[in-house]
Amino acid sequence: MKVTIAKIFLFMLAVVSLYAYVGQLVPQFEEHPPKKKVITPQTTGDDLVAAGQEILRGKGGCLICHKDQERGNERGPDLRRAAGKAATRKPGIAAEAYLIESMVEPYAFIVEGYPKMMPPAMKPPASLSMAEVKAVVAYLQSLGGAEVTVSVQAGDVAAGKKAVGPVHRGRQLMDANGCLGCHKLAGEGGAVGPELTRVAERREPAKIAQKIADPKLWTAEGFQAGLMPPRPDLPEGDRQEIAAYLAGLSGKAYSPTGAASPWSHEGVRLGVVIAVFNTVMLLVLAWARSREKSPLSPGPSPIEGEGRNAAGDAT
Amino acid sequence: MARAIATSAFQALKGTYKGVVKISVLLVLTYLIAQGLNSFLPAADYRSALGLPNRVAVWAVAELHLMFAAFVLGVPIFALITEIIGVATREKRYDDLAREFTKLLAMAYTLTAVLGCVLLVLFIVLYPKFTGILSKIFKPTWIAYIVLIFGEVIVAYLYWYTWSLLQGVRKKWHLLLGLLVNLWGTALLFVADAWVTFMMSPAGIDDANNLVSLWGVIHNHTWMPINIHRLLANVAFGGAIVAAYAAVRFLNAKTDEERARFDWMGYVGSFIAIAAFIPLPFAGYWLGREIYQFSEQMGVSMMGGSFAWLWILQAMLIGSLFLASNFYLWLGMGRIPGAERYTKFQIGMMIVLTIGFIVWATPRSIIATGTEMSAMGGSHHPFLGLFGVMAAKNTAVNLMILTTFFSFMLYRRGNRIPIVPWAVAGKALQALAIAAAAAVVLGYGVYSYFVPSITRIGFSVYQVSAVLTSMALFVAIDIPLLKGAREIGAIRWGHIPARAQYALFFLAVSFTWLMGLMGYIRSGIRQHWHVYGRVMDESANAYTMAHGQATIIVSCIVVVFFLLVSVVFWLAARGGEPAESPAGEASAAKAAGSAA
Amino acid sequence: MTRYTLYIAVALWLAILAGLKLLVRPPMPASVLMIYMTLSTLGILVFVAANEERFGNFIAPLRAVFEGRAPRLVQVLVLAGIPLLLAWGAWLRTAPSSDAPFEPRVVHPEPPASFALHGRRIETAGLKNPLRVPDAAQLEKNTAEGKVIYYRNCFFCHGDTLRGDGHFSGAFSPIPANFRDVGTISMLQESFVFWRVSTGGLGLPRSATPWNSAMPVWQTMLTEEEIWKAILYIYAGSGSTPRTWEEEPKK
Repeated sequence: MKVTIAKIFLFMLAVVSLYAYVGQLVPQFEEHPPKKKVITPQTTGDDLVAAGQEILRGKGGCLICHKDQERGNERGPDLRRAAGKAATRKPGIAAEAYLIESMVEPYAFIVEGYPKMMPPAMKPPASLSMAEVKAVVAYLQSLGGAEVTVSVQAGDVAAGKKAVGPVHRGRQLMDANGCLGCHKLAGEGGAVGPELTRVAERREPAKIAQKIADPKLWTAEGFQAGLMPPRPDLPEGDRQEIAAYLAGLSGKAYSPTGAASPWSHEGVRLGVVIAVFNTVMLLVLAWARSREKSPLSPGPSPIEGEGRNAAGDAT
Repeated sequence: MARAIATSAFQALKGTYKGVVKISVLLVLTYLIAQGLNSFLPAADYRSALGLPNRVAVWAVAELHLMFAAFVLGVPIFALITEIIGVATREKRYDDLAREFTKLLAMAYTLTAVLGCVLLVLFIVLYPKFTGILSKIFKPTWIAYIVLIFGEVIVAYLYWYTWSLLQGVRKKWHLLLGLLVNLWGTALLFVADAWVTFMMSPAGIDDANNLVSLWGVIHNHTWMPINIHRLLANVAFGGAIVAAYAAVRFLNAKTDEERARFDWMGYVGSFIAIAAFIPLPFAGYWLGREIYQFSEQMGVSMMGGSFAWLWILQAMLIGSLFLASNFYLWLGMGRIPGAERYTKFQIGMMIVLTIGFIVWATPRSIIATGTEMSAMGGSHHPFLGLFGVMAAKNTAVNLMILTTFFSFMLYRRGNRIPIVPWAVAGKALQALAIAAAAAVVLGYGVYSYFVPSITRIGFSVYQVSAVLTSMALFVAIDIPLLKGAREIGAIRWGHIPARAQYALFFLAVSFTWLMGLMGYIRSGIRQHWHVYGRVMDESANAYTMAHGQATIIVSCIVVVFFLLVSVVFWLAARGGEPAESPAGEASAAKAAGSAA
Repeated sequence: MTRYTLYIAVALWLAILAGLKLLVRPPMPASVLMIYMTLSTLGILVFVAANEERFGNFIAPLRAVFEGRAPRLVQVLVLAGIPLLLAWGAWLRTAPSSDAPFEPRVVHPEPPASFALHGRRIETAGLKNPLRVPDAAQLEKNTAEGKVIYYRNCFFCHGDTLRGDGHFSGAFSPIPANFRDVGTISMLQESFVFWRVSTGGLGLPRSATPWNSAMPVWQTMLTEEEIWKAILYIYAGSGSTPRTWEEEPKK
């Protein structure tokens, strides 16, 4: 008996190993997900331009006020002409250096006719590194049709100032997506949009998550409608995290994965289902027990009784 | 008497309630552990468990859970089919067989549930962010899933505990219970499939991943094909496990009586497994087509890109399954008096099977050295290249299916000689049906090289329908043909060489391995996506591993599965049957008698 | 006759081996031959073992040898022959060879979701040849222009007959694609071909060994329109049609 079992087990191991062996005969290679773009001193030309475009449209949050196409915001100067005008904006500074300065220290020179409202690029909310700033410059130069002269040095790659200590993921996401470019939050950020520190007192967190994707839902009083760029590209989970963070600032509890109503909470619903099934089973048991104990009565015939019993339990 | 029935009914309900309590405790524990771990551990998008890569951990547990789920869904289907056969043929051994396997269910359910709970905890702990997104989209379904689990457990336990109670005239109620078990199980499968297929082919959400229509989410491109594919595979899997169990018992049997019983059991198991296995390639083809329709890129990466090599393995497995089932049938014919009349067909069938296997296993991207490549004139061999494409493989697999079916039919009539007056004409018609189907398959196979691909895809439908039609026609003639046929001699159950039993065991192992491999391919073609094209896997383990590594993991999963299954069988054999006290049985029989 | 089961099986095996080795021209790669022979062996063994009588006949001579009932000479031959065969196999595996190592290469890798063309991103999904117009005359004109482009650029490698046998083809390994082979462009969509032409060998994913392809990055030399025209010509010239997933438009 033991020998046979051992034989069968060995047979199984042999079969399974044979399959695994054939698996070793086919070409072996790992496939990795596409790398996230990291700007290095080797990044030049088109790659740098593409990276700059991505930063400008995403993380940098530049398009909240500027435009790089025919349509767009005009709170700040038109970026399509930025590189072309850079050489003549401020006397005594070269075009490339001017572009960098205009981002890193925006208040060093204000273009006439525009308010003083741009947050420095290397500080929160954008928190760009010098390399990223230079990538944006490369993009701006390419927009103007000029030659891309900017190049990234080894020292530029280190990231800008990072927050110390643990940060709520929702806050990280807000920083990363440039929300603070317009909104004020706990004393930081711009003034284009309403302050968000206590926003969860006025609005439901779930609605806030929706509003990020679709700003048309409402507009706060005293602010112009249609300014806020819709961000439907942000994953649902990230928007919920932001809503949860804002809810927390107002002292509200909000689970990014579940709504606030007690019934919709997983644990409660699970508990109710368990309780219902156990109670029903206990009731049925009690009923069966009472029938077992009751003296024989010329009631319904046993077959019918059993049939009903079984069918009743099944449903 | 009524009192005795009430007592055994009470016993049945009590046993059922035990199952409910078990599931309740498990669910509560899972919830508490998952929530506890999640709030105790620092917040993160991804975590890893005990140094194990999170992908591998979830993969192994999910695959084991899936295999056990297939087992607990497949066994009731198997049990119901045999029970119905038992009622139809009035042979008690079928009923006993069904009962023997239903006995396993309680233990197997527990194990499935435990594995499912571990999986859930792993999901919540290792992939908190993604699980959050998914559970939000699928909010209403998972509570339905829990309700279904309770329903399934209650019905399945009742099915088992009322076995001796509902005999005789009340058998129909028992069959109804069996049907309910299977309906419940299928509903469970469909709900779980919705989650899985959504990850492959998301639908019903807008660009921002907000829920638009829950039905759209559930009814995505691959949902129905996977439902059907898994349902069929579960039946085949259940049958294969039954056959493997019988094989092990046969090899360990001490008396001729035992050998006869387990030989017969292995035959029934393998019959159901192979019968369900035959339509599986068609269901798989449908699934593949839907994947291409959903995303061409996904389809190409599955069939032509990085996963193409695994299909050679799959081809090898399916080919081996065909060979092993024919091998078993032919050896089985050795115990049927009169079957030696059909031995002469074996050589032709083997040639078809081998050539089919060879075509089926010819790779599309050929491994060749530089010199070989220049000799071939490119990376395509002008002649082998013809075998590498889908048209050739469809033709090959259809012919192999037809051959296996033919083997089965020869086995069936092994010891019988038809006595109906139209026997000769009937046989000729049957031969014609097979030949016509083979001709249609071959003809379209060759013709498809001369037409554009869009037309070619349509041809597989004609090939499949030709094969199915001829099989249906064959069986339709066979049943009246063999009515009242003269028997040459009774089947000598138990007189079969041990290697036939190893073949049965091989069927089960290969089938399980195939499930593991196809599960990996299905899930792996998402590559670095959680939800294909929508939610990206940003963890460090989001890469697609080398095939060699993946096959080793699949092998380990299969070994663990078989060890766990043997534990279930062993515990069930040791545990006895609570509801089946002799008194209960006797009283039930008496009650049945009095009612009659 | 039945006494010879073993010998018939061995002879059949050798015959299959000889047939595959000698009759298939051009010779099949060793990897494929290995698969075919393994399966043939399996088929023969399974067939022999599937019948008690046949199996008995098959192993009878073997039993005789290993149980010491066969003639002394046969025993010596078999017992010495098996280690010798194994040694030969070991030598074949370890003998040094000047062949280049195996290059597992996926011939038709999956195209990326999008790729860069002249600084723009091109989505491959749903990409169609804009010059494949229903107007027959216009299509013919486009194709004729494509032919000129083909002969100015592609002809040198892919050849006059589009069989991948141009003047330079012998210098490359792998050699240029043969467009008349059913396994090449006729089973691919035009968007795939467009991707391959535009990004060349360098644009291939790792699994398709981009370092092995001599295909130039044509977008640096041709405009988008020219590439589409050349594609029109290679389909027309090789008498094939591109693969589509939609039904043909009703005419």
